[in-house]
Formats: sequence, structure tokens, C-alpha cells
Amino acid sequence: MIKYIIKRLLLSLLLLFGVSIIIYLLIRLMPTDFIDVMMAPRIAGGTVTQAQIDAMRRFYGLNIEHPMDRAHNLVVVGGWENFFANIRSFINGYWSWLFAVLGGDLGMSFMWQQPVSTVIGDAMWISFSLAVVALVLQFVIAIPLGIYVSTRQYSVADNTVTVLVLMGMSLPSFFFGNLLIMLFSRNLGWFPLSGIESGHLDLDNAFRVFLDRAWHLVLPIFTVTLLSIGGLTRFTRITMLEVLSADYIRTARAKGCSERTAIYKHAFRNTLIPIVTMIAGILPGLFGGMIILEEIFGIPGIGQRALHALRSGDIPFIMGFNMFLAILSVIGTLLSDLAYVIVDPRVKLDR
Amino acid sequence: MDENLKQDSQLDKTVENNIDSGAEVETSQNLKQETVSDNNETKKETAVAQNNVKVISPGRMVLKRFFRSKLSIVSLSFLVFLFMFSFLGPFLTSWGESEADESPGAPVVVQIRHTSRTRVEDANSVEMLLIQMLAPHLSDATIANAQRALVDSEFLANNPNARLNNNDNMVMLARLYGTNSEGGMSATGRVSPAGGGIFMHANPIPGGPSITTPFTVVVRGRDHHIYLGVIDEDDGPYGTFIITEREQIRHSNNPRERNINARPNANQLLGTDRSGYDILTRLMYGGRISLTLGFVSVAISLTLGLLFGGLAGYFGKWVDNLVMRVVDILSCLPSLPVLLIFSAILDGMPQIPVHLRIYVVMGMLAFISWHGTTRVVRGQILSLREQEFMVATEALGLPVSRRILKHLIPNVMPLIIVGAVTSLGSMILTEATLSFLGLGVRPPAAAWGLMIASVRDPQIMIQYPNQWIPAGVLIVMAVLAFGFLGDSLRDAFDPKAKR
Amino acid sequence: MSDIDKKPQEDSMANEISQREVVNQGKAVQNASTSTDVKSEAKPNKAKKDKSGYISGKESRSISKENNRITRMYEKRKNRKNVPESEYVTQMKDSGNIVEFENLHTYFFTDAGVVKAVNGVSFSIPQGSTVGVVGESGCGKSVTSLSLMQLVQRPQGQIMEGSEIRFKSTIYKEDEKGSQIPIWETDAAGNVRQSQKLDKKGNPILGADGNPIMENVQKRDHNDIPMYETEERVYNIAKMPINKMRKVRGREISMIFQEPMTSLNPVFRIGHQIDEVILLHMPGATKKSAKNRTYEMLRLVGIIPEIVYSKYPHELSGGMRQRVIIAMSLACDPKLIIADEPTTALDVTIQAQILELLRNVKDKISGSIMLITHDLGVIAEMADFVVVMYAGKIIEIGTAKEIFDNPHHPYTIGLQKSKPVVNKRVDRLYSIPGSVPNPIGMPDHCHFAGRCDKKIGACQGPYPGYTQISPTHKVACHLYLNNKDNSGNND
Repeated sequence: MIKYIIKRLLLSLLLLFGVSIIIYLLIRLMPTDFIDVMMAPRIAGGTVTQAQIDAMRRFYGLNIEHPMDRAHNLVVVGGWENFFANIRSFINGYWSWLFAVLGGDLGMSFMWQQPVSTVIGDAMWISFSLAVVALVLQFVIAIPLGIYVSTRQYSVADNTVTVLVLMGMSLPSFFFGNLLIMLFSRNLGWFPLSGIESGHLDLDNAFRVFLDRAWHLVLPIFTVTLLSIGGLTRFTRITMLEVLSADYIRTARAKGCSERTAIYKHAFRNTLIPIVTMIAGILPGLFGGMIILEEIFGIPGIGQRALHALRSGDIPFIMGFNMFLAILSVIGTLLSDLAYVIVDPRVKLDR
Repeated sequence: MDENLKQDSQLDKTVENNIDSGAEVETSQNLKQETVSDNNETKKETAVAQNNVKVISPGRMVLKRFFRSKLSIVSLSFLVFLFMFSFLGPFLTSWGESEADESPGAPVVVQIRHTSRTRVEDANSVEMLLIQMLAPHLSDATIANAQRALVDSEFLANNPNARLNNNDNMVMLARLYGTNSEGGMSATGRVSPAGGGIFMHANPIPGGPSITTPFTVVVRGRDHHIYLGVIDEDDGPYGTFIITEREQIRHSNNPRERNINARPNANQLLGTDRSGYDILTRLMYGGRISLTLGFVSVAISLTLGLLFGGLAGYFGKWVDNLVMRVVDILSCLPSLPVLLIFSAILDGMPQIPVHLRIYVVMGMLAFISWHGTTRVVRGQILSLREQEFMVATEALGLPVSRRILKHLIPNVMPLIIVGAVTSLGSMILTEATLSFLGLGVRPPAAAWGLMIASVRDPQIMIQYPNQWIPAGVLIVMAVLAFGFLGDSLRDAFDPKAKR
Repeated sequence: MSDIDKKPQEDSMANEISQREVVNQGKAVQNASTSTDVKSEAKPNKAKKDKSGYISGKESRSISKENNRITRMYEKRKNRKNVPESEYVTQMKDSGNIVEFENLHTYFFTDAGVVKAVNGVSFSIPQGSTVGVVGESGCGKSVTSLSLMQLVQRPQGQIMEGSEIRFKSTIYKEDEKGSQIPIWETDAAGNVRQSQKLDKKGNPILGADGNPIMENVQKRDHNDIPMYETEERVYNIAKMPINKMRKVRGREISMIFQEPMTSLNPVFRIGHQIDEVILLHMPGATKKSAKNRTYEMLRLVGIIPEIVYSKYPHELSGGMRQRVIIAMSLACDPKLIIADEPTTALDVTIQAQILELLRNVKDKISGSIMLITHDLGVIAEMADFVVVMYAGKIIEIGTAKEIFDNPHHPYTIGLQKSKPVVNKRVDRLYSIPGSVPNPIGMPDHCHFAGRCDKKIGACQGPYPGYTQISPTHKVACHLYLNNKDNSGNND
């Protein structure tokens, strides 16, 4: 067991390594004078100094000047002799950046004038609270629903749920979110338009603050839940169908178990395995935030910050955020593999 | 063994003969011959018997199961309609994709509502708010005038001639501009009984000058709804003007405006957007973009997936390892942020002309999704490869190409088809998301996501749902239709389906 | 054609009946209430032949419509609540039998037509005997056993009207309130023994007068499971509602399936799965007493309970799993064990062990076994009576000795010839030519005629009825059909 964990950890590290290379490649593909162009108004406005920009360049290894096409460091224009220079600069830049990251330094964000890690750390809890509530709601609704329709294949209930579920999966989040805002915030006025706090609030009363925040988050949570229920219901349904056609369910019936026992005890325990595996995989992703939804509803989570950063060219933040997401993703895969091994008694580890 | 072959030629029941045989009464001598001829008969009988029974062919079985569900028929027909709408539709409309309606329409009177939470108390603030909201819809001249009025906003406070009138169920403020400080106008009015509008009666204050330039009337109803209208000289200084939402009041001395934000009318079935483009036509062109992007991206992704997944699944060992590591890495990349970075990179490449941009976007989308297809294909091939029929083909000595093409691929195809159809749906969603964020197709080209993006303006969100809701509805229905299609196909292909 | 009885004469294996049967099974069904449907099914076969040999769209639609109509009718009938007992309580024709199949028809309504999986099967299983059901794959033997357990896949599979499956059940007697009647322990004089009523901690509960309350002591078996009074009732399983059937399943009739590898739930431990049956069917059983019984059962099948009780199924081999399943099926002392090809998935050596186990077990519990297999060797070892099925009908039936020493039906003869003998030298192994006919739209004549090497002219005629060769031996074949001299005494 321990050996397996170690093996998976090493694999994850390898994955991260590969991912970081690709992300770094993307950043390097951004034209150097893109940075200059983006930064120009800031320099003019006095928010950033040239020295800071140069420091950033050095941090990312972007400070090599090329006589060739300035727009792209990596494009081979006019000759092979610069190709190796390109590669060398790439590798050097990558290593310097990687070491910094391993040391915990994700760079300094321009927009917020704070270390990227701080910015991420502050903002991710809001996104997390939103996501975790939506996750719990999803599971509470979708799993029983999936079990219910799996026992009534082809019935009216099954068809209706299939249609509704598919509809939920087809809605673009930005469309549905805005629709809800239009209906509930503007026309009916039930919920606030945006943000997570009302202006005139007594901040000392924690309970009121909590209620107020919850009231603000009702629409976003509703949107997220509705859009994600579909996938989970389908998944549960399909897994249940597979399990229900297994031999041991027939044995259970032959033993005299009631239909209820056969489904909820024998079948469900087997479907729980893939579901638990899935939860473990989703958990880290909850910290990543939802870019579009946060923008529509004005929630100051990490997704909103990422979008602002991208629009304003806050390169350190973009890099840091992408690495952050990649790390979350890798942890998710790791957790889901581990969960699978723990939950399923059939899995043998001595492969 | 009993060779009890005493045969009766008589049969004491009525018989229904299905098959002509020509058996005769036999004696024991003829036994052997009869047996032989019986054997021949047996063979013929067997052959005929087996022909007598019919089964459903696999292809027809799939089609039958597919068309059994009404949902799949509906979704298929919707998709056909969508295609025709997007690709043939533009030939039927009279508008182009970015053709503004230059007809002399005027800004429509706007009904602005405030929620009860934001109570407007201050007269000045009302005007400022209103003029801001009006700004996008008025011509520059009108805006200049209104801004001048803003500067003169103490007018009401200072000028006793302009006054508040309480009349029926309305409170009115009237603001004038363009007159000298001695003149003035008062206006009275009431809400029409059917709620269709506000009747306004503008009266010159005795001794005041006539109106020479248009003036803005701001009306605040007691229900806190604010209505306003513009009255100009053509309408005369006196008279009753009905101001409703759909009133089009001409500004004769204003430069020609575009027919922006028009409501659905005979010319433009869904109205126009804020640049004067016909919404219905833009929906069609947007459909072209979405569908094309979807198909091409899925095609690229599918090809890559088949190629790499097939290689990985079939050859195994180090090829499999290598491909799967690459796929793992790609699947850990966060898709939306990476797409955003891509777009930023694209922005920085000015040498890529606008019309080529869409192909690059297709490539981006394919890049994001091909790892999923690869994984699915590989999994399927791995499971198929170990099945006995593949081992049998190997034992038969079939060449590799034939094994792959004639035996492996047809078993992989159903899964691939289902996956392709479903990912078409999600590709359309991704494209819409991209264009919503402004990173896909650029205006003035039309895309569904772009049309929904106009909802950022709260004016448009509430007042002109005809501008953004149809695009969203089309997206939902298109993705839904693809989803149903994929589901029905999967059920139809599944040989273990219950019915 | 229309005045032949619906129910052909019923034979019990143990009785001496010597009538010659002239019942055409196929016609009997056509007279049943669903005959119209069946007749319309016959039409597509005679319709214009599609060049490709496939059913056309129109035909398939009409088939579907017909299927839906019939299945809906049956499902509605099945889903009634509160079916009165009189509908499914009946009497056995011969009290020595534990199960009597009479004119069983189980059809599957598929997209390609009606599959008559069991097409007029009648036989009985006497108490304490082993009945072997032999036949090729697809001859309907499994479906027969599934029909007995009401486990046929609905809604496509239905036991048709006119079928009867009589089963002698032992149910718990119920008093007026509906609870079971306990058996009390008695002392030598016949009085009911009493003991102090204890609370949870084991202290006696005191009554109002300060004396401990006495209560009757219920008799318990050696596993500490309380015993209740029972009585006999004969049910017609074909008509029984499903909630009553559940009480029969696992307790009175238990089933052993073919695939031991997948028949156990992989996420529960072995002990738990066997306990479940006991706790389900034996009133008054506690976890502890159920565990005792489980241990007893595991020992019975030759497994060390202490080790296996807490293991998961995947930790055991195929043979061990099959033993566990046998233990599970014995746990509630069933009257009948249905073994559906129990050894087909196992190696030959394990096969011998399992068969030996079944034989021992059968003697210990004095129950009957219905052994379904396609392996004649197994039948020869285990069975008292043999039923040979082909294409949904019984073609020969008799005691094991009769069938093996004196087979009559060409199919039975062919089966025996097909089994290779170890020491005999042959140039070419024998096999019965041809294959089983398509179950949809089977012709009205003998289904084996196409492959039979002893075919005569009469074989194209209607399906042969039974010929009684001995009081216990029947065969359905034209070769023997008109031997009127063979009849023994009438019953």
C-alpha cells in the first residue's frame, strides 16, 4: 500500500513537471512587447515602475533581447543560428522560474501589488465556500434521483428526468446566470444584483453578516447546482444500471430479498465505489473558482481575479494561477486513485 | 436401439403440411433408401426451415431502436432545421451580417424602472441617472443638449416657472432647455387608463416664448417608475402627446441615426441590436460559426484521438506509456485559463488576419479536447483487443491492416460516434463561452456568445430581451439536440439493451 | 382442432399410468386465451419473404405492437394488490410430489417475434429425489427453473395463462393477529415450561406483587433459533403474487447459479451474505443465532467457518465460492434446491467434489434437487429421474436407469452417442448434425425432425404426443406413436 502511494506521488510530480513546462511555454509565446504594451499605461499611471517590469522579466527569463522579430522569442525567423539561442534562453528561464516556484515564490502580482500566493490564498476561500455548498446540494439531489430513475428505465419519470438533466447540461452558465438575474434580481427584486455584501450592513453582527452573505449567494449556488446536477445524475444512473444487471443482484432476488433491499443495499453499495472515487477527484477543484459565474454575479473570488488579471496583463498572476490550478488537478487525480484503492475491496495492489 | 419402424400411412388427425415432402409408406426393405432420401429431405428441410424464420438485421436493429424514441426524432429534425437555418437562412433575409439599419428611426422612448430599493429622492440625481442611461441611444446632438441641460440643472430650483404638478396619480417634473430664463413650460399629464402610456399636455406659461428647440420631459410616476420623452418643435408647443414605450418621435434636426435597439417588427423579426444590425440574421451567421467550429474542432480532435488512442491501445508497452503520459499532462491543464492565454497570444499576433482567426480558434478548441478522445479510444481498443474474436482473427492469420480495419474499427465506431456527437454539443458551449468573453470571433462578426455578451448593459438585459435571449435559447437547444442524439445513438448501438 | 383439452393428462413419475397420449402440445396453446396473438405471430412467417431474409419495418412494428399489448395485459394482472388467496392456493395431484409442472408455457416477447422458450412442459419432482433436466443450450431448461422461482425477466418474459406450477409449501401458521405461533417447550408431563422473564441485562423483571413474571419458554433449535408452528399449503406459483413468492424464494426453494465467480456480492463479506438469508426468512433469528447457523452450514459444505466467514468473495477460488453458494442455499432448510449447471464453470476435479457435496447434502436435508445440466455424465451420477428437453418441450422422460439403458428418442440416443468414451477408438467423433431451430416461429411438426436420422414420413405431421413405454418412461416421437399395443393399465 505504501509502495503504491509513493509510486503515485512520484507520477504526480512528473505530471506537474510536464504541465509546468507547457504553461511556461505558453507564457513565453506571449510576445515580449505584449508585456511592454500592457504595462505602458501602468508605467504612465505610476502604478508600476520599469524596474519592477525588468525584475519580472528576469523572474520569468524573458529578458533576452533578440535582434530578430521582437514579437516572439521562440519563433525562428531568418536562420537557425538563433534557434539554439532561443532554446537556451527557454531552458534557462524555465529553471530559474521553477526554482522560485519550488521555493514558494509565485511572483509578485502587478494589479494587487502583493505576492501572487497571497492573492490566491485570500480569494480562494470565497470560491471554495460557494463551490462546496453547491457540491453538497448536487450530491444530495442527484444521487437519489439517479437511483430512482435507474429502477424505472423507459418510464415517464425516466424520460422526464433525462430531458431535464440534459437541459441542465446544455445551458451555458453565463446565459442561465444572466437569465436568473434578470428574473429574480431586476424584475422581481428578490435577490441582490451582485456582490456578496450589502453596503449598509452592520459588520459586527456576525450572524447577520452570514445571512446577508448567504442571501447574496443564493442565485449563484442555484445556478451552479442546476448546471452540474445533470452529469452526476446520469453517472449514477448509468452505474446503477450496470450494477443492477449483475449476477449477484439475481442471487439476492433468488434469496428472497425484497426489491428495495436488492437495490438499496446490494446495488447501491457497489455504485458507491465509482461515486466516492469521483468525489475525491472533484474536491481539489473546488478551490479553483468559476471564472464566468463569479464575473456575472460579481463575487470576489479567485476566478474573478483571474479574469481581471488576464484582461490587464498581470502576467505573474496568470502564471501563478495556472500553476495553482494544475496542482489542484494533479492532486485530484491522485486522490481519486487512492480513494478507489481504499474503497473497493477487490482492488489488489501488487500489480 | 429401438428400430421400431412399423409405419402407418394413416394419420388419424388432420394435418397441416408446411413442407412438401413426398414420403411414402415404406417397408423394412426400403428402410435404408428411405433413410437416405430422408437425409436429403432433411437437408432441404433444414435449409428451407431456416429460411422460413427471419431475424432483424443489426443495422436495422440500430435504426429501429433509434427511431423508437420520439426524442431522437425530434432532436434530429431540430438539428436539420438548425443547419438549414444557419446555412440557407441568410439567403432568405434581406440583411447582411453587419449591415446596419440606416432607416430614419429614432431612439425609442425608454422605460426605466428602478427597484423599490433604490428610491430616487433627489431630482437632480434623477436627471443625471437618466441622461446617463439615455446616452447610448441618442445621437450626439441630443446628448450634447442633454448635457447642457445637466449643467443648467439648477434651473428647476431657481426658476419658479417650472413646477411640480400633482395630477391624478402622477407626479411630474418638467425640465426645459433651450429657452431663456424668462420663458418656461409647464406640463401636466396622467397615466392612461389602460396603462398604455402617459398623456402629457404641455402648456406654455403665459408670457413665455414658444419652443424653439426640443426639450426633454422627465416624468416620475408615483409608483416610482420614471418615464421620459422628447418633444420637439414638429409636435408643436401645445397639444397632447402620448408617450409610450413604443413611441417613435422624430428628431428632425438631428442627424440621421441608425435604427438601433428596435423592437421586433415586420422588417426585422427579432429587432435590431445596439449597432443597428438585424438580430435574426446575426443569429443565422452565428449559427454558421458555432456549427462550423464545432464540427471542425471535433473532427480534428477525433482524428488525433483515433490516431494516438489507436496507437496506444493497439501497440501497448512503451507507445502506450508515452502517449498516456502526454495525455495525462494535457488533461491536467486547466482548460479555460489556457484558452484565455491562447487568445491573448493571438491578440499579440497582428499578422494573423481576422478571417483566419477563426481557424486558429478551431485549432485551440481541438487542442483542449483531444486528450479526452484519446483516452476513450485507447480504453475501448484495450478492452476489445483481448476479446476472443480478435485473438481468433490473429489465429486465422489475417494481416494486421485487415484486422484493424475490418474487425477492430467497426467495434470501436459506435463509441466514437456517440462521443463525437456529444462533444459537438460541448464544443458549441465552449465556443459560446469564448465569444462571450470576447475571445472568440470578433465583432462585427456575429456569434451567439457575442450576442449574449450584450447583456452586460443592464438596459439591454431588462428592456431588450429580444437581443440576447434568442441566442441563448438557440445555444441551449442546439446542445440539447446533440445531447439527445448522442444518448439515443448510444442506446441504439448497445446490444445489451433491455428492449 | 379446437376440441382437444387444454390440459393433457398429467403423469406423475411415480404413478403407473399407461394411457397413450395423443395431445398435441402446440395446439393446446392455440386454444388458450392468447391464441389470437399467437396466430397473428404466425403470419409474418408466411408473409412475403424479404429478399434479404430480414424482417421488414412494417412487420417489426406490428410485432412490437402485439408484444406491447400482451405484456401490458400480463403486467397489469401481476401488479394487482391484494390478490385473494383462493386464486393461487391449490392441491397437488399426487401428495408425494413437491413440485408439479403442468402445461408450463413461458414466452418471451422480443423485437423479432415471440420466443416460446418453454412450450408445454409437464413433469413432477417427487419428494426426496433428484430430477435431472438435460438438453442443449437454448432448449428451455433454465427458463423452466426460472419460472419456478418467478425470476423470469419481465416484462418481456411471461408465464402464460393456462400454466400451472404447483408447489407444496410449508408456511408458518399465523394466529388471528397475523403473527407466528411459537412452539413451546414442554416437560415430561406435557405442560408448558416456564421461566423467568428477563430484561436486557439478564435480571428478572418483577411483577406488581414483587414476584418475578413467568413466561413460556419457546423451543429453540441447536443454533438457538426459535421454532414456530408450521403447516402445509400448496401454491400455484404461476399465479402467486410476488410478495408471497419472496417468502418462498430462498427459504423453501433455493437456487444455485452457473457462475460462482459473479454470483456473490463483491462488497460484502461471505458470512454477512449467508447471515442475510437466515435473518430474512427465519423469524426470531438474531445476529448471533444466525451466525451459528452460518457456521453450521459452512461446515456442512466442507469449509472452515472461522477462516472464511469474514473473507470477501474475491479472496476465494471458484470452487470455494460455489460451496459458499451451496451453503447459502441450504441455510433455511429448503425443500427444493435448483442447481442450474452448477459445475459447468468449474474444472473437472472440482466438479467431482461439488457433485459429491451435493449428494451428501441432499441426504442430510431430505430435500429434492432439480439438477439442470447438459452433461450426461453428471446426470448419470446424480439423478433419480431424467427429463430430456429439446426446443422448449420434453421429448423423453423416465428414471435414470431407463433413460440410460433404454433410450428411445433419437435425440437421447444421439446425446449418448456424442459423449466420447475413453477407451473406445473411433475414426470420427459422433455429433448430432444440424443445430437447434430458431425459437421464433417454430414449425408445427417435431422440432427435431430436421436433424433426426430416423425420420419417417409421419414426422412432418403434427407434433407427436407422448407414448408410454413403461409406467415411468414416456417419449414423444412418431417412431413409437402408434404402438397402441404398448399401453399398460389405465389409471
